[in-house]
Amino acid sequence: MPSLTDLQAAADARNIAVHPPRTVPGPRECVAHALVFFRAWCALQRTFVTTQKAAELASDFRSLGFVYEVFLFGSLARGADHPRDIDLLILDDGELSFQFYDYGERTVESLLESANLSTPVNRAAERCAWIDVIAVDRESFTNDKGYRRALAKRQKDPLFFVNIADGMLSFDQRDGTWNSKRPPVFELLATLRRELEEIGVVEPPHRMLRTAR
Amino acid sequence: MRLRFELLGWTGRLPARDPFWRRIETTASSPDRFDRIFSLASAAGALEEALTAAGRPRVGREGLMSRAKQVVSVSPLCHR
Repeated sequence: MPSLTDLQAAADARNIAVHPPRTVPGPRECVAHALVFFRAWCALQRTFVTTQKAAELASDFRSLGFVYEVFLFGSLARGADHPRDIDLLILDDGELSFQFYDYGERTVESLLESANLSTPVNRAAERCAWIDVIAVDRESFTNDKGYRRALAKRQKDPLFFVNIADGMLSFDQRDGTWNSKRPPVFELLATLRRELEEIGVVEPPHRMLRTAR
Repeated sequence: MRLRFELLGWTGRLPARDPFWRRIETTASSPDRFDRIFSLASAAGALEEALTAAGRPRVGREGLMSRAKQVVSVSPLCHR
């Protein structure tokens, strides 16, 4: 977190710039103020993007009658130093997964709303891109190759489900914790990913993260 | 009002992967003054959202700094 002095200076610069007569700092000073806002934003991100907060969200989803399982994947599940967001995969009975099968960029916001989880905190976190949720129909995902193929085609990353399988954590509703138990299909995908790593077709997850940064 | 660039490890760039913050960086360094107004206002707006997500929603016409001060006083990640 930047010091309150720096934050006050950035807030003052913003206030003076947006109100008439609009005295705007020069580019170098403006970037410095933006950096202060960015650092404060990142400090708050670190307080939100935690396995504990992910467990709270998972518990909220599991309390819905139609959500069977919740998984955590991505940088937070892998224990990265600076995870970007809480990535959740929920398996349901089709209630959310088919509704938001092809709903464009507003998927998470709309999904939270449909699940009655659209609280001010969740909405703000979604706008900060700190929450990402994918809903999948459990029965079809387990038994229907056509459904899995259709889902995979919709992802920007063609190996999306292969990449998320390794390191994926499962939510245990009884004690509110994350564990490494996964359904057989994700075990298979995790094994496949490790084999692809071995032959050098894909990079290990931690290297992918560094590349992305 | 003194900015402590040296304490921020100043490189002249925001270390951001996020497209939003990359856009802020671009507009902040623009010669166009309205681009720079946009960048400051948007960056402050993003921090307002982050404060709400962190459990410190805006009450009435409360300003950003009073909310930030409260978060700084309770978060172990923040220092004065």
